[in-house]
Amino acid sequence: MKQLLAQTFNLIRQNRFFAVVSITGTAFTIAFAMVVVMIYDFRTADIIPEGNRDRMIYTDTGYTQRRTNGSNVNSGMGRVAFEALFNDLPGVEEVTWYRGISKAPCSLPASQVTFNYFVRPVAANWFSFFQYDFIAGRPFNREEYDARRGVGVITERMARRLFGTTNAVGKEFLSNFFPVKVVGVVRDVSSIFQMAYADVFLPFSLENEDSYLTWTAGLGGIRLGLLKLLPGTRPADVKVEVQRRQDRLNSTGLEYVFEMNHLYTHAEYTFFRDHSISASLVYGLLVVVLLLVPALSISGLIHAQMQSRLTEIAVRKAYGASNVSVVGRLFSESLLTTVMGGIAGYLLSCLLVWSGRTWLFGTGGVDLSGIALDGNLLLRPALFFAVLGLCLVFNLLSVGLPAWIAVHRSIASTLKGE
Amino acid sequence: MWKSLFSQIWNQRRANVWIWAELMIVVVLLWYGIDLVYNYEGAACQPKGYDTEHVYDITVNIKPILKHDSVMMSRSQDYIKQIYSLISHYPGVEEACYYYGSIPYTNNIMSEGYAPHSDSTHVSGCYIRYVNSSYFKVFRLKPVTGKFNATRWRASEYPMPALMSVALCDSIFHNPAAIGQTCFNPYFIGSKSPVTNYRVMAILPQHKLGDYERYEPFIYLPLSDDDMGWWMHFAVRVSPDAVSGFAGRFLNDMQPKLAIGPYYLYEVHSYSDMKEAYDLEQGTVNYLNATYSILSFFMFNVFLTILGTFWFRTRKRRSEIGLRMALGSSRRDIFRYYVSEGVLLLLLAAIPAFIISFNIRVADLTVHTLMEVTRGRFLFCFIAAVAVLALTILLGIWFPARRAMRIQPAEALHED
Repeated sequence: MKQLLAQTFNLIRQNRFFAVVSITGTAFTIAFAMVVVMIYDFRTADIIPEGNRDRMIYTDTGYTQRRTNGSNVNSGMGRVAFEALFNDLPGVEEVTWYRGISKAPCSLPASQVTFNYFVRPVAANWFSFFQYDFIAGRPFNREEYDARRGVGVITERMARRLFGTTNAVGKEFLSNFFPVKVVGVVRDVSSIFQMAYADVFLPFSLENEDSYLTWTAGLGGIRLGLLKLLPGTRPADVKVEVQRRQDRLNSTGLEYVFEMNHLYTHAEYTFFRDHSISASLVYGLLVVVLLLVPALSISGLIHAQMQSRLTEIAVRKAYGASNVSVVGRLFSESLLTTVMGGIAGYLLSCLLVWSGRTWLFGTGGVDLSGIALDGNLLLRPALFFAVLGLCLVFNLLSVGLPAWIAVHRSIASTLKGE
Repeated sequence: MWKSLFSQIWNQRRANVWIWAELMIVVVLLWYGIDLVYNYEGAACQPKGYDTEHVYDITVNIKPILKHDSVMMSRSQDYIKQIYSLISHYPGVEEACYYYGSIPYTNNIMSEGYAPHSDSTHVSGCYIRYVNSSYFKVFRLKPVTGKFNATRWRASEYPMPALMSVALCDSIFHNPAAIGQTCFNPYFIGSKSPVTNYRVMAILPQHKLGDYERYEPFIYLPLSDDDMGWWMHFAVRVSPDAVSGFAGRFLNDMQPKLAIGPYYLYEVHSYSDMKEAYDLEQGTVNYLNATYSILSFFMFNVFLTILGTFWFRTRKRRSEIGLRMALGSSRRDIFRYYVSEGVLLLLLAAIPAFIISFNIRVADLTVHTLMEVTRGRFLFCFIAAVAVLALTILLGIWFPARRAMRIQPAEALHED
């Protein structure tokens, strides 16, 4: 091992130019592949506050229509349909509901100055469904929810902007000109979390959902649902059960029928809500393309550099080294430069993702200034393993062929200098 | 010279095959990327039909609690007129207008259909905007045919005046300059005001809603006083010296003043900010930036490969170069020789790349949502890809070639 390191460092010192070129090449390659990995990871991995993304199922808006002739189509799901479809589903740990996020004017009482914040009306169990970090106060509870109290949970950022302090529990503000009392303040949530993100969380019961689409007898409305599956439950089974319940609901003879068009898993909901391509396939292909082309170029360089070491390889082989051990040696030598490049590339990828965060994550009606990427996200251990894995693969790709060619040359002709 | 270049490349085929393969793949990828960019940027280069530079969008809203206050709501039009007058007199505002319908850089789209009186089955669909007469000044819209008469731009005129884009006029009347002709809206026949009659006042240039979009047929109709409300957008053209910080200033000064009746000031945005947000939201920026960065990444790779390979080559070929110089080659010849070798390699790689790219195009795998697939587009994008790569190769060869030029023939030959 020591000898290996010593020799590798000597080689780097002797071929400074080659080392610089191959480390830069590797760094950029790893950086670009890591950017792709990071985007996929941030969007799909289980990260607090969305700590159970792999077990989540998202409902679509659904729609209602008149049973007899399919007329009067309206999108949206009401309380009756929601409860019939999703209450006590087997294999489901928890069910919650919300209304889509919207920008609403918020102000202090007796002030004409309003700020526009993202408001999300949510069910009472929203704060146990996701893992928020309360820095003051508490979530609103079931009683407040049922009694339709004007209470809300706000983020740290909003508390600072509105009240000048994060200790805002008990203070009042107007959300869309409606008085709301702050009961809790949570740490800011980056808007890359599509579900957990908002500035203000209000009880969904304030939305007066029963006044929407009254003619559908509670089938139509404004609800969106979220399911958290028990570990080991297959989404397909849940979909089948929901479909069965929907058929039963629609056979009860009401004037309207309800249709839930889709239930999505997290990856489907995030990337391909209306396409049929698999996200992992697209991202996988991207990584392959991003690795293959540079691997080709670095291996060209290694092949060129290898010519000057053919004699050394031949001597080793003449003294009894096997092909495997020579290739293994070449491989571990270059692994060192690859890892050096990999570390530089990882830092570079953090920089790239951070500086490009607005356009990488800025889709889906989010607050662009709310896209925060802090150390917790960028320094996740899973990403280090990804870097290491990419380095190994890249190394294998780039050294493999040149090393194979080099060891398969005839020793005699190499030593003779042909 | 070419013959010796060929044989040299062939002799070095073991080293060259790597570069050749890489160049071939990169030419294809680069062509595909440039073709994708062409689809979007080509469309963005075409004029939008109206000018939104230095124009700001102002929206008001209604306080939900007061929505049902019938006394207050009955005076709603007076309030909104008051708001409009305050907005148009704000310092820095050159011209103000109000409109509703299809809003640029948003997903708020309104469409209608019109038919000539001669053939009620021939209905042409189009985007619509209801606007007041100063709209055309704010957005700097100049008719291509006919004249805009501001005093007659009223919903109470009969027939009601209408401005159409060239495409719509052509599709309704089969005549791109049908000034004075009339049409009606067949969808209104069952409504409260079944009789509609619109006369073409002037023809406007081609129109689109956003930069990265196709041209669509468009119609403008006068906005009647009954239709004034919170759903309208106010638009103001701000004088160039007042543009910096306008939105913030306006919000600060006007929020208390515009809280009139049930209304409050909702948002102020410049159209350029709206464009930015819209392009982001549509994913266009994402596609383009991803393409740009991946393309530059591949180019950087090519640069490194060429740089590295030719660097080694210079070291290996010292004696060869020394010999060439001794036999009378000038230093410039050596440089030229290097460059030609690189470019020849690229051309050799471009031949199979051309075949692959052409097949991709024929298989309809390119993105052509905004611009048509044409032979010219294919050739342009392919040549651009090869040219960009040629430049990159030139850059990569530059340093090794300079090193080769500086070789002292005597020393190089002596070493051997």
